Amino acid sequence: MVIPRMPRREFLARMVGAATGAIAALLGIPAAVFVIGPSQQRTSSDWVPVGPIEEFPLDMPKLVNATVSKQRGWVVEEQELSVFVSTADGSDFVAMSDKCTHLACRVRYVEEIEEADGPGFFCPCHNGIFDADGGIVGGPIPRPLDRLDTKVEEGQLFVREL
Amino acid sequence: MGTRLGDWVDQRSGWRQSWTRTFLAKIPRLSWGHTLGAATLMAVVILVVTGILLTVYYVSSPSDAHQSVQYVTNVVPLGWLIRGLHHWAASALVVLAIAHLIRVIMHGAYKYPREFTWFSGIALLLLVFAFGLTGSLLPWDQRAYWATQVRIEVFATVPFVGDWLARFLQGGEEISGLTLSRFYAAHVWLLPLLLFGLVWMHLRLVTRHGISSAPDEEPRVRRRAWRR
Repeated sequence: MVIPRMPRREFLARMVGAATGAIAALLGIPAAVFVIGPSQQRTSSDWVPVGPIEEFPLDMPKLVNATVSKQRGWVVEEQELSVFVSTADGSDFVAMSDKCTHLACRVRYVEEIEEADGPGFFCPCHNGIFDADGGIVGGPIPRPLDRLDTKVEEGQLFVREL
Repeated sequence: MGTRLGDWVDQRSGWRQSWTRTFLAKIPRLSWGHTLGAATLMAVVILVVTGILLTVYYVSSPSDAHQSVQYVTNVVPLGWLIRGLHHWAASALVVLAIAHLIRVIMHGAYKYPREFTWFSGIALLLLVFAFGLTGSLLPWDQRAYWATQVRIEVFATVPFVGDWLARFLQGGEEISGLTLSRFYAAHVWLLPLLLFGLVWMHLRLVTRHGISSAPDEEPRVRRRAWRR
C-alpha cells in the first residue's frame, strides 16, 4: 500500500479550508432555506359563499362579489373577490374570475360581441375578447379566464380559488 | 486558487500579498487564550449574517414586531435556528469578548505600543452593550418591554442629564413604538457601521503590532516575530 506523502503544513491548510467550508455551508444552507422557504409555499384557499343558487339566472352570467380573508405571513388580509357565475340548468355552476388573463384588468360581460358570435367578455384595456365560457376569441389574451372551484351546500353556492 | 486564474487575478488585484500577510503570516507558538479574539470575531460574523437574515421578516412597528418574530420562530423553515443562532451568538459574544479582555490584561498586551488596540477594543465592548440594549427590545414581548424599562430607569439616574437621556433613548416620555423604531434603526444601521469601522481598525492594529510577548519572557524575538 502506498501512503501518499503530504507535508504537514499542506495537510493542516487543507483541514482549515475544509472546516471553513463546512462552517460556511452550515450557515449558508439554512440561510437559503430561511429566505426561500415561505416564498414557495402554496396556501389553500377557503370556500366563500356567494349567494343562494336560485339567485343565479340561467341566461347570463352574474357578477358576484365576496370577501376572502387570506393569511399572508402573520397578517390576515381581506380581499375582494369578483366572480362571474354562469349556469345552464341551475344545478351545475361555472365560476370565472373577472380578471383579464392578459394584465388583470376587469372584464365585463357583453351580450353581443361580433367576433364572438354572441355574448362574451370584453376587456377594455387592450380589447381582449373572451367567449361566454371564458375561451379566447381575440386580442392579446394568453389563456382563458381563470376558473374557480364551485360547490353547493344547503342551497348556497360556494366558490374557491384554485 | 488555481495557478492560471490566480495569476490573472493577482496581476490585477495583488490578492496573494494580502492573503499571505493576513492568513499565512508566521506567528510564534501561542496559547489557546490567543484564539479568543478570533472566536469573538466569529460570533460577530454569525450575528451579522443571522441579523441580516432576520430583517427579511422582522417588522419594527408595535403592531407587527411581536407577530413577525413569532412568525420567524414558528412558521419560517429553520427560522427557529436563525433566531436561536442570533440569540445565543449574542450571549456568546459578550462572554468571549470579556474572556478576550481578561487574556489581554493577564498578558499585559494593552501596553505600548498597543494602546489604540486596547482603546478600540474597549469601544467595541461598549458597542456590544449598545447592541444588547437595542436588540433585546426588538422581540417586543413582555420581557423585552420590562427589561428595557429597567435599563432606561438606570440611564435616568445619571446626574443632571439623566432625564434628558431617558427621553432621548425612548424617543419621548415613555417606551412606545418610537422607542422600538429608533432602537431598530440603531441596531441595524448606526451600530453596525460603527462596529465595522472599529473592528477594521482593531484588526489592522493587531496585524501591525503583532503579538505581544508574554509577561514572563524576555522581549526578544516574539514582539518582532509577527510584524510586517
